[in-house]
Amino acid sequence: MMSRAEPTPIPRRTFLRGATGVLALPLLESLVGARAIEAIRPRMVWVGFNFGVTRGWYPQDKKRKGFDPGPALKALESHLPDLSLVRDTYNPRGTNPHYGTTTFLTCADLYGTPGRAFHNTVSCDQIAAQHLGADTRYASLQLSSPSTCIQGSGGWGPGLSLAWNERGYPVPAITRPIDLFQRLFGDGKTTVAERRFELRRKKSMLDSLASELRRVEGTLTREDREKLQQYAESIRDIERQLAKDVDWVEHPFPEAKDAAPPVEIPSGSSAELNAFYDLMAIALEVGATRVITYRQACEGILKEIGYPSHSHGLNHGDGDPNLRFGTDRDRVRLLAFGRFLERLKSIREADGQTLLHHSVVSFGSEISTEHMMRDLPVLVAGQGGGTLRSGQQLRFQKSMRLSNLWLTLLRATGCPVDSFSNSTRELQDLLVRGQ
Amino acid sequence: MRVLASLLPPSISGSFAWIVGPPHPPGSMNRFSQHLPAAWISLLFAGSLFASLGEERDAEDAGVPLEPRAVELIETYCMICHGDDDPSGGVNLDGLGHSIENPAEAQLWQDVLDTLNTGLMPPEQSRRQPSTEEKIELIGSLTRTLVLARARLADTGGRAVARRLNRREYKNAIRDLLGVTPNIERLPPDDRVNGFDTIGSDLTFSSHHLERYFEVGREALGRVSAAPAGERRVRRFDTPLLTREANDAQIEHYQGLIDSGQKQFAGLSPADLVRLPAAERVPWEEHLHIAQRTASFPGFGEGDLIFSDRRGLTPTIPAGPRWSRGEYVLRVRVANVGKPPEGGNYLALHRDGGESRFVQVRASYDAPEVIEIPFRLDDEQSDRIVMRCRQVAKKDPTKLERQADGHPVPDQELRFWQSGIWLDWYEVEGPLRAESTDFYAEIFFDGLRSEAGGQDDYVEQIVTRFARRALRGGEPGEELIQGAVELYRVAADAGLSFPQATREALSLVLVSPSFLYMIEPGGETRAPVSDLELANRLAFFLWSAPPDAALVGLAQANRLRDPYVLTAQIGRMLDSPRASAFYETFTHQWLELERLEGVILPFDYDDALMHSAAREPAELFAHLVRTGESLTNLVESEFVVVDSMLASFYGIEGVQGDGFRAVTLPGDSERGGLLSQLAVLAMGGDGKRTLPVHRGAWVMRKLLDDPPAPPPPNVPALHPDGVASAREMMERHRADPACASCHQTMDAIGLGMENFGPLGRWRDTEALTLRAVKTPKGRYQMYEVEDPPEVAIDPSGHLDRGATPFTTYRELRSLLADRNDALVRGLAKALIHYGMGRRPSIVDDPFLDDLVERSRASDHDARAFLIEFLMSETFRTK
Repeated sequence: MMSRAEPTPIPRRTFLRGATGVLALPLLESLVGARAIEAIRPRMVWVGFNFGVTRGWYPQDKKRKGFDPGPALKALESHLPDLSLVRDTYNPRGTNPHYGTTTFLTCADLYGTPGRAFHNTVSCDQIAAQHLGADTRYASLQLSSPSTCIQGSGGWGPGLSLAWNERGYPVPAITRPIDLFQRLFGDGKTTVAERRFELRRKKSMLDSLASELRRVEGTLTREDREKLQQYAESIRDIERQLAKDVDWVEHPFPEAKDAAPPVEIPSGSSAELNAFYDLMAIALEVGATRVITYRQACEGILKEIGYPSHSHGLNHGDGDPNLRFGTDRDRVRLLAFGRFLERLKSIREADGQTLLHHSVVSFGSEISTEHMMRDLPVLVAGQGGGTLRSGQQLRFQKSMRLSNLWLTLLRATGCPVDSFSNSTRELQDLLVRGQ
Repeated sequence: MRVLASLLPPSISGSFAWIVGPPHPPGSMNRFSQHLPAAWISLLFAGSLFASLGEERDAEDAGVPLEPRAVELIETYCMICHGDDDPSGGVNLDGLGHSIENPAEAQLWQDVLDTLNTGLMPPEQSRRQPSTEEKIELIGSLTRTLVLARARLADTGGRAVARRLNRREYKNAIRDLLGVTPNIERLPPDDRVNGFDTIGSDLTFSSHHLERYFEVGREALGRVSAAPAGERRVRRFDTPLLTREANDAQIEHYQGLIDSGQKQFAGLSPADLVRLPAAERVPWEEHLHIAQRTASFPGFGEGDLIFSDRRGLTPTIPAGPRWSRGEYVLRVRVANVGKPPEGGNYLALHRDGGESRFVQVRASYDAPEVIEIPFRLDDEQSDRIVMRCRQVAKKDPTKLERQADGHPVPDQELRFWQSGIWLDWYEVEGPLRAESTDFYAEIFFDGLRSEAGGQDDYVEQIVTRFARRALRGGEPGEELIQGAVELYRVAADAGLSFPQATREALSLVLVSPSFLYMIEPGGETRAPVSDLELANRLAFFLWSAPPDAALVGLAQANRLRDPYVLTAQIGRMLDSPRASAFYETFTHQWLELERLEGVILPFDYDDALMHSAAREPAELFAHLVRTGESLTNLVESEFVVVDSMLASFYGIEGVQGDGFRAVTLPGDSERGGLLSQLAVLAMGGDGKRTLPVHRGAWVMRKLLDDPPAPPPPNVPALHPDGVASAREMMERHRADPACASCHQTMDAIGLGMENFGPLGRWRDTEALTLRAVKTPKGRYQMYEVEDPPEVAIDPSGHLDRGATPFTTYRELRSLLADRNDALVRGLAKALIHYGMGRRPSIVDDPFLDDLVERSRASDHDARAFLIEFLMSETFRTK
């Protein structure tokens, strides 16, 4: 299958129009039959990491099936039948070789808005959350390693997580596994009555702040009002979550089967990766959410494998005498990812299929190696409930827009979108024929 | 002139000359007039800085033309295929125009540049091939043009976006208001733009921020309690005794660990240990050595023996809730034991989340000395102070002496416990002056109530008074007050006590938009700021804190716009201890000193020196401003501003006791100026090797106002063949057009600084520690060299694309020092970033031109420069 990137990007406005139309729809019940409601809905996970991978990460041959996975991907060998290695993708507007995740899920042109030195657009996970998250406790969960914040932006580039909202503002993340644990299981102490008081207090606070904001805005010109947009938005976001919390306040949190993770875990260590992955699997299993993103650092892993410096150096010239450290880092990262897939595979859904079968789990970075931003390292695991083909290396003769991959995944999981960012078409080879 | 006249009250606008004449208000004006030359003052009010607002250039129509040489090269080599006639690949460069006017055009030229950078164009089979030199020219030119075009397209015409308080400012605002330090670690980290945490358009705010600010503010309110008496007194602490029995027990314990399961690591060198997983990396042998060694020192059993970093009891000042705010002095009776290293033993005071202080210990055990160190406690919270022994590394660990088996020689290995500090007792006296602000009584101005119900009126008064103080001179709206009272009711209904429920109400004020944001209501066009806005701008600029009562008072009386009052206030603020927030934070962010944290220090390097090194740039800058010396000292200087530890490192005699001070350098010293400061040199390396590219790029960004473009994507890294010096590695950049266009200046400067090693020491030779070997696949694999050869360093090079040669570091420094205008211009741009919360705009260009000219006229007097900046129309326009 050949592909050719079209030079004309779809105007953003077109997309927004589409998205708003969808937002305006009432809840799905009236539109879909009872059978569909009973059907198991797909879960979507995106994992993104800083500073890309070490050379040698990619298979050395172009075989579609049965390729030699090489030293790093060997860590995932037993999972290869459940994933596609998507090659040759790139972001046409990704130009900063130190930004590993800023536009990974948005595919935006950061510099394309006059009067703005930086402007991102909505990320694909947030679109998925609109369609998959209406009836879950959390529409989506954003996780991130704590910022190590040395040498600029830590190889991620700007952002608080992989996710960006409809206005292109960064969506904040949970940065400690213990915090995620409490989101899923409660803190074990707060009673329903206390939670009710807390919600009332919060409601009262938000109402007051909203009316105070209106007063302040009344003293401002239209231009100045835009300045407080993010503040207004944050009130609305909490209100939205609050409304959900009120709905859910009577529902007890599920009981935790495992012990709570430790409070302090080194950023980007395999301990952090495993703790987050375990809780992510649980969150999907108990239905707390259907959409999760996780932005990873790797400084902790470097310490574990004994690399005495930072990942920035490792990915540049310094990577050479230390090639094995780079490969080790990639392996540890993939081993943890494999463990996560294993876990998803061990969970059975009502139809007898595994949770992984019903999921789409993407893994990658917008940097490949060194300063290279082509042929991004991207894996897609899971079958999306039977819509996705797996067990293959997907190659394209010409570079393929990453937005096309995200469009494919969104549509495969039933999100009613026609385009995403600068997408031009779907990747047919990733889809089970007839879908 | 028009604007000037409108800014001045009628009584003043006629006569400017008297400004230096009349009696000065105590303390402030004196210093100002001393350091602001009379010529400046007359210039200041001659009005050209207050140029008409109407002269602004319109940022909208600022297309950036391609440079003529670039157009010429494109015509010659690209148009054959990409002209109007059936353009190859559908790419028609003819249709593009020769100017970048919108993002789409920028993007298309970016694509052209990317294609050139990756060597895809022109294709090999093309008849006409540009020479390497022409490729360098074209890539360099397009890169410059695109950087400029991106900046123009992002231009906001000098308007700043209302921004929230960042973590530092929030911390100070809460401390001024409540007398307690909020736990800002719980707040999300601030976004940095070009290193600055003050850029409104980029300081994000989200639901997460709102929730965290609320939680942190409420927690801080919960800690406000009635102030302790604050009587001055002396508290003496006898050091915990390390008894012989306890020490023997430890020796036995370590020996046991080594003999048992931990044995496998007992024989490893520090270098090997560092490669072990953290959990297993416990150097028990070291502990054993220290414990054994400890018992042999004089003073053992009589007081404490503390050693560098590894071990030793660490006496702690247990500041508890009963310590009130104020100045204190710590006295410690100490002596050296053992033979101190060449650089000396230092008594270190490390504070949680605060600065570290170092004082060299000179006394021997026969005649101990008492060291005095003043410090400040800012709230009633525990602010632990830990005492340690630190040392200055004798040599850089890259030259660690090694035995034949690769292990460090024993003397080196034992360095840390060859010598330590014996500590007899310590005492704390204070607070030296009563600072009686009772924040609790300030809030509950009419006492507490036993019942929470039925107190709405009183709570309303409490909230109103509190909000007036919190909102920095702004008047709280009725919505806020009523909202707070409503929160009080909800809390009281739920059974909270009166003070608890009141705190709930007050916590609303601390997340209200008027508190969290600096809002400057304005119209469609740029306009002068109000007095109150000016007071806020000044205070957050110079103190990172809200304006104090004096500033707010002057602003509310509309007197701050009076130039006489304003200059006096700026002088007062610059000399206030609170201005350290400006000197330290601005310098740190401007010079990107956070990179210092990214330097991995070798395992056996005492990082105490780096604490002092990190402060040195700010101490230099503050010294220049306080004394009104020339900004050119930032590049080339006959003095340094150092503490005793840095003086020892730089080889300067006679610096004793606590604190930084200016010291004249010996004539043959290579130091002086930022370039030779340890912090700057260390962050231009990775701890093991120098990074000439980083150093050179830093100099271009900070001292030359000529920031190189960010690295292009998809250009592969270069690899040398064989054992290569830094110079040989860099030379490969010259052969590749994609690299050479940007690297020629950067690399030359970086190589010119090669005489400074990775940790700042002067050196004449370089150890070649890396060897590149070509693999069968044609790639290069690098290996560490076992016995690295030493080669002489050649610092020579050229600036200005070959036009200006230099042969030594000193010559390079002189060349850079001659470019003072660029230095000052870059500094002014950094001040716009930091102090005005926005990127410099094209509309600032006339202001910058003018400021540079005035600065030159005063020999770049640092103090006058800052005052000029703060008095300027640009600073006073929103």
